[in-house]
Amino acid sequence: MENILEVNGLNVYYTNKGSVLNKIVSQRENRQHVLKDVSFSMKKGEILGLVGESGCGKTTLAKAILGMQKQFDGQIRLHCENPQMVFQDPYGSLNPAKKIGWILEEPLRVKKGSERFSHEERVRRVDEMLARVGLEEKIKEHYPRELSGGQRQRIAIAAALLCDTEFLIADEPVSALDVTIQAQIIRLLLKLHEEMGISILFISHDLRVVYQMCDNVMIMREGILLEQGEVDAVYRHPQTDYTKLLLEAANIE
Amino acid sequence: MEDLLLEIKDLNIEFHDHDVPERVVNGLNMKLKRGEILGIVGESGSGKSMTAMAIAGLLRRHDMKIGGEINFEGTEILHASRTEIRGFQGDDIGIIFQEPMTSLNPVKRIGWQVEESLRIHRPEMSKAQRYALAIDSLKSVELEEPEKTYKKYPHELSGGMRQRVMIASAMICEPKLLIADEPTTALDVTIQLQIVKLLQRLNREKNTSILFISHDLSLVKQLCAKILVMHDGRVVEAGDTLEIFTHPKEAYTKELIGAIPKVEKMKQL
Amino acid sequence: MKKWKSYPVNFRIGAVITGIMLLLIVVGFFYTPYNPTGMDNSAKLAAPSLRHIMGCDNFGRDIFSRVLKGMGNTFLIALATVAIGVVCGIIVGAFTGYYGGWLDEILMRVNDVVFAFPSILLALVFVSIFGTGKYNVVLALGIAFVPSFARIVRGEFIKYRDMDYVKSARLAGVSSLRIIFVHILPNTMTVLLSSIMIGFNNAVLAEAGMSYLGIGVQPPDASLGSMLSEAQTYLFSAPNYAVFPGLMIILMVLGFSLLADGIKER
Repeated sequence: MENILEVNGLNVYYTNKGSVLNKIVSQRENRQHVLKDVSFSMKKGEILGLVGESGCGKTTLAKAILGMQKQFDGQIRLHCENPQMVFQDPYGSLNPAKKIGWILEEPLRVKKGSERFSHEERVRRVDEMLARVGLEEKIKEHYPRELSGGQRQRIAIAAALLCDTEFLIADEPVSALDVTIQAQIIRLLLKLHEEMGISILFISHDLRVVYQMCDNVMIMREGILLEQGEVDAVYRHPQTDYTKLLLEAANIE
Repeated sequence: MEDLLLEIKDLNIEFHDHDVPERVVNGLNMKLKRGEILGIVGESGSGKSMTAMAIAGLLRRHDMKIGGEINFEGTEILHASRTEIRGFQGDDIGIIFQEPMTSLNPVKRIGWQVEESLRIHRPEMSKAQRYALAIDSLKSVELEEPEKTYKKYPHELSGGMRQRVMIASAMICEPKLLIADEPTTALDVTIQLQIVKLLQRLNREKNTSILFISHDLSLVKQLCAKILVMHDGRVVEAGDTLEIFTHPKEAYTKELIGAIPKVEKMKQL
Repeated sequence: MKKWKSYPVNFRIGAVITGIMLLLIVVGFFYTPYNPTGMDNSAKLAAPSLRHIMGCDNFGRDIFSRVLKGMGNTFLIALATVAIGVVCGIIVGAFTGYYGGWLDEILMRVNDVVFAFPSILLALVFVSIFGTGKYNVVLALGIAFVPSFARIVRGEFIKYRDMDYVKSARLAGVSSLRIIFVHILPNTMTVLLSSIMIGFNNAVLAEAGMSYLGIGVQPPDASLGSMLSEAQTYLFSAPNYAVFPGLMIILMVLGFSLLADGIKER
């Protein structure tokens, strides 16, 4: 199986933000080492789990892969176009000023040149995708605030997949949801994975959810990849104290 | 009968801010004994937070209709006057909220906020006495270097530390009842475990009753001896935690327990 | 179209007041009971009566006719002023807020400089360069209004530019211009709308100030502000002279404020 993503010796530094004037005045550079020598690869069609707590660099890694973090040392090779992301907070990931139908059509609307879709084609694709994520067509007439958290997350997933992607980063996609809804969304992601063969980088702090979803897992702490390997192997034989602590906190029996 | 701390009879809460009245809590009955930890479990919109607010006396709005009784140590507090309720708040009843970012005032030092309820309920205390108590309180929630933390501002602390500060300020008057409304939801898993252990210790040492509100059943299972499952404003099931986990009677409880992520592959199912 | 009843009360009241005001303004363009600049020596400072429902001023001109004309002038000046301020403010604020960095730094310092000048002073400079007249006043006031709108829009854009839906849009290949104007701008509307209303009210008052200083609407043409300043001398002998233009300013401002509140609530 060929790789869809290769990351080699990735280092990311944050310098102190602030106004340009501040930068001129204060010579002291406040450099933070956010990702330290991160290397891993991901196979096509794989679901890879990334576990770590807030501030460990998970989101920075996601941004770097998506090309939203411009400054880094090392190599990131992504063998696909249009990487997409599903965010943790379904309240923030949908534009509150727009109707669902508009939001879903937007990725199709901005396509240029020969790829340009007619209005009918856009509607057809949106309806098809709505059916796929288990929502009814009439939801298109609603605003995001009128939907439940679970529905919003389904819409976010649909919008990401409408971009015709093979690679999806899911950043804590179920952490903000109720438990019964969590299970539904996980099932949905697994179903879509099977049907469409997308590769998913699944970021989470919940080891149980990661176990359910993923083939392989990486444990990250303070910008360092502590462990990586098959889920079963890592869970059965944790190599570091931190992983043991995480497993204890997850209350795995 | 003597060890009964809190009793709620037929609590009803209705919102009237829309055209159609919305009943968020419907005929809720519950009892809490002294020194007991009771878990209220439910999903968002089940009315669990509203119940907590009612007990803490924080539901005072003109567009709301509230019925029933809440007896706290024999005093009816649901319809008590504002002054009477203020006597309870922070003194006999402490409360901690979900979001440690917003429940602390960003422009005040930690020490000032921890001492606040002392200033109100123990006006006779001197500044030095207050300081000593605040430091003790910060120490008891296992914050390192309490003297330094005392002088810090909330933004200088991590989420877990902030939640500890919240617990310290809720516990400083040694309340008989601590209401914890999703206190760990916004925290990392390893920190969650620490906070739960801390609550357990405080309950043991100070015999504080704790009302632990959460949607996370596995946390509730670890912490609470008794639980109350809520759904759509109603109590679905109540009783012994182990009993409910092993033999859930209602369909909704079964669904909730079934939804706890288990360490098994969903793919192969 | 939603049912009238389903709108908030203040929206409905505001809509009625604004509607009446706009109707009066439109009527004033085509018809006034008397010639607004025609003087009648026999009716100097006449009290309100059936012939002159708001009375007459010190030259014997019918106040009602002048109010109708003056409202039109005031309204147009305020509208044009706010329009300049809002359009330029949105452009400056959106780009500085969205991109940040050097562009933001430079434009915001220019903004601060403009902000530092009182709008009256700026208008005086303008008028001394380009001559008196209402168009120069509109331009001067408009430019003086830009910084406050720019600041508001910039703040909103800074708030929204890191939202997840903006990131998703960028990942979906939406261009920056489209993100700024189609994705983010509609979200700033509630805040912008209320500041437009406050700005409109300020513009009405600023026009009055300009006319008072004699650099705005030139006599014998009327505006509510110039009428107020003329009426000042006769405040006790002919209170109706000041009361009616003042009342119209209040109603205009009130109508718009209620409308804005109503829109925000919806």
